Amino acid sequence: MTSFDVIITSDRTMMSNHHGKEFLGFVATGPPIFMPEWFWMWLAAPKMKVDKLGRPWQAPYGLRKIEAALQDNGINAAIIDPDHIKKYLNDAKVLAIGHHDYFALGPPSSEWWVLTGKEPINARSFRKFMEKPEIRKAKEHGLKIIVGGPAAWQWLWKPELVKNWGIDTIVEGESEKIIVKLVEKALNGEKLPKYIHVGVDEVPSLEEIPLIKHASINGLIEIMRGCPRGCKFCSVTLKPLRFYTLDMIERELQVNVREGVKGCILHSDDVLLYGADGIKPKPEPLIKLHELAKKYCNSLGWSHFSLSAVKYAEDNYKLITKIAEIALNENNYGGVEVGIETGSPVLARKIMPAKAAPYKTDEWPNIVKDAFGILHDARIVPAGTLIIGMPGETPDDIMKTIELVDDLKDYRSFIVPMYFVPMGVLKNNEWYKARPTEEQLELMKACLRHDLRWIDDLAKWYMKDTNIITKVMLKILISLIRKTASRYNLFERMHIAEAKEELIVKA
Amino acid sequence: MSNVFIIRADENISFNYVSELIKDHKHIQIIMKGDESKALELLRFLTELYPSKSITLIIER
Repeated sequence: MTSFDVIITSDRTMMSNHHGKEFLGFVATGPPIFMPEWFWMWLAAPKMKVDKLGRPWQAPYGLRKIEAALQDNGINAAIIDPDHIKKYLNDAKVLAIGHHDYFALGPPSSEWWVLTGKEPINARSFRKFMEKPEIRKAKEHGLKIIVGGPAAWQWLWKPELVKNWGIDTIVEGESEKIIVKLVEKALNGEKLPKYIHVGVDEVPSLEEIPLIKHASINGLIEIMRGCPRGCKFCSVTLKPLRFYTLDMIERELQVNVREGVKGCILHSDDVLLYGADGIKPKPEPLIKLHELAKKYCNSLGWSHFSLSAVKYAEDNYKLITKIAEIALNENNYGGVEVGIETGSPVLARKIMPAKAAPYKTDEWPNIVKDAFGILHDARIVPAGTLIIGMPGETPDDIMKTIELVDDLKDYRSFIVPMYFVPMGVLKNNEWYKARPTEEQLELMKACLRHDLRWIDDLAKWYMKDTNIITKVMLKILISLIRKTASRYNLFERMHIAEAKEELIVKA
Repeated sequence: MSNVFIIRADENISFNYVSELIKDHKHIQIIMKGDESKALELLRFLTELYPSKSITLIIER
């Protein structure tokens, strides 16, 4: 019987391709309200197809990198679907787990938790996974558990779970280099450190980043690491900038295509800075990148653009129009996440002084509006995030952001407020009982109004190639959200504004 | 300085004292005795203060 020394896995909310729709994965950050929990799990995280060994067809990109790093070093490791780990845990020596949000302490999970008072699905699912009897049993027989990924920091706030679940090592940061040494220690029966924080000096160089060997979720592949903008709320900015070569990118595209993944999501914290001159996008590398990706993929999407790069690229080179022409099929939209963060230039100066560059930070609200207009015309749908609750934020900053959200109403987009729970508050086990201020709630309502304005158009596009059950279920869900919003007068402000507009038109 | 800097500590150590000790070093190894949750609290403090440093924690029983 096949066995693996190292099992790499995560819970179901991570090990799913979300019906082939990356954005549906975010549904798992919400709590199970309106519908039973099984329905939310089915909608956000359907089971992944597996091979006869229980290896998933697609797996999170970060786990694929760990798998590749270990296999390249001759270690008998594999990613196994969470429903299939039982048969390997008797023989495995290491269980390596990664996650984006283990305990729902990061946004937007923390925000939904605060607003509803109910624990989000991702944290529930992860807890159920960790409490599987087979993991407890294997632990008693000496299994070493190593946890990492973007949410590794959350374990530092959960010492009781580190102890109860027998976590041996927490790894924070880019771990492709460190994981090999760590696993070798575990396999040799050596003592493991409790915690490793990978500093900037220890991140892998471009040559040391392994290439994935099997398909990633929805064909997501990385094109660069790091970001030069230096925003205070973002850890990516601490990492050195590294651009993947086109050859590296092509090899990962080939892996996904070979294993039957038809789409591709180009991932970096600002895709438009691929091959850039500092923070100024350059046409040649971007066009080559998109032509290469399109050669392999039917549908092409992006993880993140920065709005100042959108404006610069279009104003100087008509580059957004050009890459949309390459990437998007006729009559189709594309999607991308963008950081609006705030509508207040004062707050922008404090928390993200280089986010507007090469433009001035004072121009930030206009940059956002221009960029949304450019994306609208190019049929690219931005999912814009806002940060609420940053230290130093004032009610006036929030009011400026509400004005900006209102100004964006005619642009096809989705706007998601990210309510930041201050770290210090997490010490309290009932942190989620923290309440947003009146202004913050007003901003959240403004975002909901914006999203409900566009949701039917966007749902029609986004769900057009999914099965009928998913379509119907999503329609029911949208209708429930709309009804709830009406019941709690969440449209009130819009009604007044619309009434005013009507009066002006009539006059 | 980029050498490995090793601190042996117990759970009574002052967080500010540790942060002063490591401020000029890039690679730090902390060997700590005692309560594991206190050690994780120290790490929360240090990683927020010095997000670029490499820090390894070993718990000694």
